[in-house]
Amino acid sequence: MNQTQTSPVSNQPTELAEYTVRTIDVKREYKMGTETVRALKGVSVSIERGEYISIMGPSGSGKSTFFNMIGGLDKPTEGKVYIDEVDIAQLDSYELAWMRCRKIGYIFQTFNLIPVMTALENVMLPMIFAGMTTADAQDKAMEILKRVDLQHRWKNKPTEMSGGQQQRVAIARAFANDPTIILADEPTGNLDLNTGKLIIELLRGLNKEKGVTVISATHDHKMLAVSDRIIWISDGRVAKISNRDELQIEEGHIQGPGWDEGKTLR
Amino acid sequence: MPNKQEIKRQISLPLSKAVEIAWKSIRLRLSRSMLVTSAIVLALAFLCSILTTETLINGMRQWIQNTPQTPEYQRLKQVRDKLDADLKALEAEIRRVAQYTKAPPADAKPFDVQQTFDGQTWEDIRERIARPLPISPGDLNKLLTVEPAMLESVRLLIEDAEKLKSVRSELNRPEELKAQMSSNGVPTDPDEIEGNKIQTRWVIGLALLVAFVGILNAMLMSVTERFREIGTMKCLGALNGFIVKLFLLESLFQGTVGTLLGILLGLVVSFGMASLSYGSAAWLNVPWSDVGINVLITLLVGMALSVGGAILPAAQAARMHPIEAMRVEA
Ligand SMILES: Nc1ncnc2c1ncn2[C@@H]1O[C@H](COP(=O)(O)OP(=O)(O)O)[C@@H](O)[C@H]1O
Ligand SMILES: [Mg+2]
Repeated sequence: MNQTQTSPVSNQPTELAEYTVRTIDVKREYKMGTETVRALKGVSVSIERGEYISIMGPSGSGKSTFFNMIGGLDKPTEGKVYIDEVDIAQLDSYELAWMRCRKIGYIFQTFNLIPVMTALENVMLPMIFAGMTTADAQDKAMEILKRVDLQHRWKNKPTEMSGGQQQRVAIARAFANDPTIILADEPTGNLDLNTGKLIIELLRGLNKEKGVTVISATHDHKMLAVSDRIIWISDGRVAKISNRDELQIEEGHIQGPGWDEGKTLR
Repeated sequence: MPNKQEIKRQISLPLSKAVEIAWKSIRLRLSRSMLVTSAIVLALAFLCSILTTETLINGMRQWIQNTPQTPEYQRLKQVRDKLDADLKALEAEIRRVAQYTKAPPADAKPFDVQQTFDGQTWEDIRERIARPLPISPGDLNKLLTVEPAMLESVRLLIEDAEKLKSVRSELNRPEELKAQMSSNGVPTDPDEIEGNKIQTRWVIGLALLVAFVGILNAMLMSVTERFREIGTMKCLGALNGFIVKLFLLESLFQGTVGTLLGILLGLVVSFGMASLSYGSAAWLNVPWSDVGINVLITLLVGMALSVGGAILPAAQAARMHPIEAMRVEA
């Protein structure tokens, strides 16, 4: 880490080294008529505060379903999800909304900016939901836009911005209420390679600066270099979890213990 | 270890925030959803024009009924009687003088009708005053050649006859309008009016139904169109109540704009149609306060319908899962 700050992970006093996200044997089934799709077949992971986690896996392996579980957007059919050691199954809709508003920042593949609002207004929206006054929200949103280098585009509507710019606004919006977790479901999926790299680097930078836990699903193994850990999901299960130092990342190939040597990931 | 106490409850936003966001959204969407707005406009224009046409017709009915009782009408009747008497006296005088008129001398310059009355012949004059001349045109020529002083009486006769004609048509107006309305199929008798009211109510009910379905459909479309936006807002911490408020307000704004346009259109149509059918008679007795009440009723109905029609879609939107926002459509 090349930051002047020390890593937030090591900042945590040992007795408070709780897990930001913890899942225990999470299963999720979708009933489609008579058929049952088992999207998650028992996933247990523990993610520490300040970690940058990438979730890898082929399309349809259950990454998004897993995101919905840990983002408090959907409830597991079986198993437990803890956010900051709180069982989210026990939360009512007001508490869930509070958590989505303050604790978690969401970043989507499709950016999902509100089309009728300017960049600034989009970033302000979560602050408004959190009860901040318009004036305070404006100042803070402008600060965050500066951080993502878009202060000059504050007046622009999403349609007037490129995909990369829109995603940067979305990142600014995700950071609006200083969340502890950032959930990014294929944040680079709709971007070209270079723009995608910039987005990932931005996320990594913010992760280090603010000590926020980033959990990001990605198809693109070139984005894995920044991760602290990589969770490989396949067919609704965790295939393996690898630490960064166990990985040797090359163009087009990922090699690591337990992963087929030279296997090209798609 | 942190426990559940750490999680707080999300606050409800003041209505003003919802108003602000809904207004922003509708301002941008209004032009895009012109089709939807135009459905509202047409439905409420229909309602407004039916109400207003009814009001205008009632105004005319009232005018037909009340006019004969007015002092003005009574005065006109007296004027008519007086003119009638005056005319009879003048005609009698002209006939009497003509009886004793001798043949004009050979060197006398014969009376020239056309020169005296702006190019009109006795025939023209007779048509103009809508009344037979007291003596034949030939006799009139003879009389005025021999007795030029009688020209004064003839002029007076023409003048009074013309006045009588206009007074008569003024007095006939209520009956004429009544006949005109009957020929247009608009009842003027009390029993018939009752039956017509029931029919009108049905038509109004139909107009309301059309407006309601239009708005319901519009709002359902708006919700479907914006699954992702709603899901995103929920991910950002929007409470269900906020989403409901947002949609109800949007619908209210759209409904109000549509209704105001509809009222304008409805007034133009109803006044235009009445003017086409009855000419100036349509404007004789416009019950402006009733027209105002119609406008108010239409506005309230439009607003109520737009909120009512949005309740279901808004509830549907609020119940939506935030995962809709994450879903990536191919
Ligand atoms: N709402 C749903 N209804 C039914 N099946 C679903 C639904 N969401 C996801 N699935 C199924 O669950 C599996 C995992 O999907 P998903 O989590 O979206 O995978 P990924 O994000 O890794 O591509 C897939 O087989 C998908 O078809
Ligand atoms: Mg996915």
